[in-house]
Amino acid sequence: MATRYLILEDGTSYKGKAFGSESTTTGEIIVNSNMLGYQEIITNQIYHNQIITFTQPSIGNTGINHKSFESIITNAKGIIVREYSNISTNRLGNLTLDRFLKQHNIPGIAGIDTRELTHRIRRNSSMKASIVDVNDEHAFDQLNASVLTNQQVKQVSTKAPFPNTGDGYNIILIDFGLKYGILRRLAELDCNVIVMPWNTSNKEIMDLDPDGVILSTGPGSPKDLPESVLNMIRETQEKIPMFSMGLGHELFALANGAETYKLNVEHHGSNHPIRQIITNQIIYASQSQGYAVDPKSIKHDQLLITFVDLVNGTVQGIRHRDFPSFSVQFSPDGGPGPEDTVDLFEEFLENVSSQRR
Amino acid sequence: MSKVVVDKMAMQRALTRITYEIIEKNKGVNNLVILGIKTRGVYLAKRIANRLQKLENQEIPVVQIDVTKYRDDVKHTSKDPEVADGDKISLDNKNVILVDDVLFTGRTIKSAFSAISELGRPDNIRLAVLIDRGHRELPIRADFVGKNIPTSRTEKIKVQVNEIDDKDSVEIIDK
Amino acid sequence: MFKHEIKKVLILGSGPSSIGNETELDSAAFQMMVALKKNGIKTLIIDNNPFSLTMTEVQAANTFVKEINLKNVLEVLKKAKPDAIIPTVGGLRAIHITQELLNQGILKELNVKIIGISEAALKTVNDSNRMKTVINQSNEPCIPSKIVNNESEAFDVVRQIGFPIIVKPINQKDSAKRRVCKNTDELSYFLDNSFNDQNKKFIVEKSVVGFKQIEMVGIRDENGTKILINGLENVDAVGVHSGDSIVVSPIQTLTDIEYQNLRTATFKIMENLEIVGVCHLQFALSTKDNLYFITKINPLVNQSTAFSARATGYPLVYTCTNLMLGKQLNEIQLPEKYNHLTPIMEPSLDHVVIKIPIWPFENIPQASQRLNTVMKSVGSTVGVGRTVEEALLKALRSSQFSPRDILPSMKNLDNDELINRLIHPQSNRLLVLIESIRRGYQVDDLEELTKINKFYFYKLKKLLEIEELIINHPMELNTIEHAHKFGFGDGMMAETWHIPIQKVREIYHQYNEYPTYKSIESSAGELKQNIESFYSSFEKENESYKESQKTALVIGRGGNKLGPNTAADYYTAEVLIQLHKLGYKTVVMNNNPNAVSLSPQISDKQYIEPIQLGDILNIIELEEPVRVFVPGNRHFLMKQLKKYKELNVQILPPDQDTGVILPKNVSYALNFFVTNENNYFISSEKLISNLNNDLDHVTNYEMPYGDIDDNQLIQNIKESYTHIDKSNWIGLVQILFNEKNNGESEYVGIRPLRLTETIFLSKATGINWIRELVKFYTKRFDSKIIDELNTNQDRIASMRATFPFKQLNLYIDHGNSSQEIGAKLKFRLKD
Repeated sequence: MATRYLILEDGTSYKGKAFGSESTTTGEIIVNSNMLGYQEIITNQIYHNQIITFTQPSIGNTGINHKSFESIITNAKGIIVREYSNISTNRLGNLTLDRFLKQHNIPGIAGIDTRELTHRIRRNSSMKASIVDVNDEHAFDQLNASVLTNQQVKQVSTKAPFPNTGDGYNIILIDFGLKYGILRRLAELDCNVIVMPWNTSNKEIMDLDPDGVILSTGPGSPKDLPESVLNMIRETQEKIPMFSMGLGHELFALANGAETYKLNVEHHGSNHPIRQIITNQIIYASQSQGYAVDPKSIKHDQLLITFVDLVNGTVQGIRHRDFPSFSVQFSPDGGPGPEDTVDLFEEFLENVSSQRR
Repeated sequence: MSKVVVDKMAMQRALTRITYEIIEKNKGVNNLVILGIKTRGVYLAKRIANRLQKLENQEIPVVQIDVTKYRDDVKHTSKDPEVADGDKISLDNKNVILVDDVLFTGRTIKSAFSAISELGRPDNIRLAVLIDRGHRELPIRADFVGKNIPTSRTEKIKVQVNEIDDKDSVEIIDK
Repeated sequence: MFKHEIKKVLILGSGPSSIGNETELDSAAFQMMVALKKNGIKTLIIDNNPFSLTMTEVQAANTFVKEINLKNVLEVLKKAKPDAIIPTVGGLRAIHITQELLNQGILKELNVKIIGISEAALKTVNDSNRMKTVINQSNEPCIPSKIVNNESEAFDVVRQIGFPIIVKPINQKDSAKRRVCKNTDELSYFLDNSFNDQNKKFIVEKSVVGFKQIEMVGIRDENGTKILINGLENVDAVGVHSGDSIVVSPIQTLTDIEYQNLRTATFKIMENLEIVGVCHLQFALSTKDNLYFITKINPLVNQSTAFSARATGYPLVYTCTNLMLGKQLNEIQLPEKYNHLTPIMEPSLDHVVIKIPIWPFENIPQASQRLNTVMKSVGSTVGVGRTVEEALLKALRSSQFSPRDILPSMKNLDNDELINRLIHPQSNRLLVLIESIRRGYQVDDLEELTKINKFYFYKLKKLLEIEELIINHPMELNTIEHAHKFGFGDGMMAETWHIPIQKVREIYHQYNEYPTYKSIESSAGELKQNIESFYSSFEKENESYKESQKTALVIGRGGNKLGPNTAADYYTAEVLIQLHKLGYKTVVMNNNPNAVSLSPQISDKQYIEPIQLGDILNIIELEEPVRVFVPGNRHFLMKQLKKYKELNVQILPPDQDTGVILPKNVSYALNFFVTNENNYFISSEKLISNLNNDLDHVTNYEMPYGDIDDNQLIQNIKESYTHIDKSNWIGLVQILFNEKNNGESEYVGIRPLRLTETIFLSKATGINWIRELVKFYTKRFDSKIIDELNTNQDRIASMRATFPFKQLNLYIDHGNSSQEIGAKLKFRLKD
């Protein structure tokens, strides 16, 4: 195992051991505190541009299996672990994390004091990082000079529509960085799903005679997307029930006059208590967010706040006052993380059925 | 044999959705009064009011009504006044949401109209029910339905609410 | 709900220690008592365990020293009139008593509430039918089983559930009659020979032997908010009791999908039972398909919940106490050092904790060493590390009591025996697994033989690679660095390289390399808090700093074995409490997950580390304690520590080996407190041996010794003084006597008062002698305390040791003191 370095924008350098691809990489460094589900995390399109630090020290134990993909193409820029296991103990296949990362050209670095790194990342606001062979001045210069793309959604979204057939409701799923968990949950509910590109217009949606629309999670800032997306949302919510999540949620908020901002420290984990306002109940959800809806900007004659994160106070859910459309910041499908929020899909379909009566 | 058709989670979800739909249809909660039909309708009404309050930060009046004396198909057994709360509230110019657990023939709702007419003249009345089981005998239709459950006439629907039954559930009892 | 109604509660204690009940319940009761006090609630407790810290810390007037049974509990309820009763920290006995009190309507009659467990949950404990109903109602799977009346019906069931199955007669609990049948022939044969007049019905149940064993610990508040505290992976498959398995947290070999299924199942069960507090569930997972079953529901505090609290750093008992008083998770106010969000954050770990059981076979060689579904271990140790290997090796090092920090070799086992042990697990499981890898067994074969996930064999392989490195590259910095990262101790390297441990330490110290200590907390570094519980690693960031200029380090006993171990743990806890009262900052080092001495309220800082010289020195170098206390009898360790002249080390009680005992019978003793200036007589004590008045078989004590007449006593005291003056003993000293057949007494020996008897002396005299010893050794002893001695000798205290023979399926009458597992305390009036 070759020695490699993780270098940070703040000038810190860590010595570690290479695994996965041996390419050089640069991205925004974030911390994920889920204890399991590294495969789901690495394959989540939301991590386009990002290097993921795992707080759980032992990564790779179960290998890679076909049930845990959140996308087939993975866009994470790199992963940082305390230790990785080069084996596969799941009973579905023999692919190891190391091989998988090599296949997808994603470098990993092991042997890092990830707890110290976590503390550092939480102290600083967002930082760029690189995994490199040499930690010299040149490497730092390159890191500092690098500019990360803001065209992530365009890069990860499907270019053409495709179906995932079922016998139930006809649901249009707008792909901003499709997470397969959404497809799985809709399949469990027997929906007929048509996945559409990020820049689909309201007319294109309505032409398919949908029962409901879902806006998927996705990478990057909602403000990097053009106004046309917000128009699509405004026009669609008036006509049919809509359910948005993650980036979709942020766009839904923007479309209804609210503002979003970049979090000082991104939150990726499933340990935060989230209060459902209407029932006062506290639930746990799979969260992976770099942006949030500003509660002060919410127009109360248009939107209701439905979920709040009790740790950092961020808005975790909103609902339109006049239309049966709602959104959540977290990933209601889990993957990885709790199933406490899965029934939001049923709630959405109840909205759909209620509208169809 | 009994079969649970709505469990605790599903019941909560249904009430949550009804609450949102009330806000949607009513354009907020101004002028709203919620009428719960005794017995379980009252608890459902209170829960909906409670949810509305959490969202809107505004107290919503809940009135319970007993319709047995207005029913033409049931022997009068209760001598309860129609408004058990004591403080009679005027429904003049109010937006009324009438809440019951199960919508069946529609006769309960018809009696409720009679009870309401004694309390004033609301601007409008909307009906919310947890379960719509079909078999209407009158031209009545709910505006907010928790769940549609097709049933045979011989089946019994048992709604249980935590406040008095120690659990939330809807069961079909097959005779 | 009843926040304001409850002013006084009765905790049902856990009684004498036994297999499956060490000190974790006492620790929980103690923490609960502290939390209740914060809420302005008075605690009463009934228990007859002399080594219970809770009994000591609850005001004497509120303790009831009685055997815990229905009659005595009822008596206490009537006399003390508590508002509520807490059965969750008293083990199954307390649950059964409470079930009985509930069923008989007594609680209603006396207007006593049950808190900590819902009625539904209470009724489910040990009622397998009810448990099945609860599981079915929750739409979760329980192990399929059916009652059959004849062979044809039995095969009907088999066609549904498939082999292997377990068949057992319905009308007897005799486990010997159970049979695992793997195929048609076995089943036919069994049934042919089993259906008869006594056995007309049989239960056919799917066998889950070989399934993966997973445990989940969750909590729920009155409002229905639920948190999964911890998941525990048993390394051994179903078939070995989870208390006898190596246990790993967090779970390592499940995918997130599998894990979330179990989390959701746990929550559904907790919701169904309306748990308010803690619940522990056990699952059996198929390794071939998606099947899993719920095998056990424990809505109470046990070793798995204690382990979970220790592993996560989550303040479990404190939180649950508040929950049972009706508070919601987001309303709980923790002690200041915690972040206010801690109770409501679902724990996420950035370390690995591994538990290894300790078995009693060394002291009870007659017992069958075969591990099965009945628990046999009497203690355990944990290792905490940043990797599985590190945690595993630290746990293993902690579980070995060799003072030289070496692992026993299994190389003498022949191959047949080795394979036999792989298939049929016995004690020292891990060492057998290591030996099999050393002999080159293939991982896939080992997985097949042992039903242990191959992940763990890869980890063990890695450890052996490091061991090779240590052997082949001695005294190199690179070797030491690698070894440290994988949990090897300095002592192990010193042993391998045949050099003093100090030499090893010099090699890396000269490069300024020292261990880094990391906090055991539940937010994976997210929340800022000052949780004072640490484990070592060799990494970048250290989080533990010198506590104070006046620190006392207390070195705990490690995992419980038979002998005075639970007493030693109580003793350790008491030493910590007393040192704190004397103004010291206290630091404790221990590795027993069930230890009462590790309760966070008792010390200022806790290190969960192997009790080995290198690890101790690391902590000493960081904390620079002004005093080091070593409760218990640790000859080798003391000898090593004494080499470090600058250390102010005190072993308590002083080393037993140096006592002077003549080879004579013994029947009573006199106990003294000896200072440099004076000898104080404290009490006489009757020593009752269960075999030939032999000192090793003295397991039954009475205080004072009622049959001794005053003249003889005075004479004995005089004689004792001469022996004391001849020796250089100080502190608590015991003079042994024998009463000869002619009525005369003879001197038998002198020794420091043992741990167990020191505690007994405290109970009998009402003076906390551990406190006095600590005062004495810190030069604060005031002889005025002697004046407080109760001269009223009407009350006789008796302490009787208990043994684990019955639990180990043995019939032994004469247990010796090294086979003790606990003790019962009793008071009676002198007749």
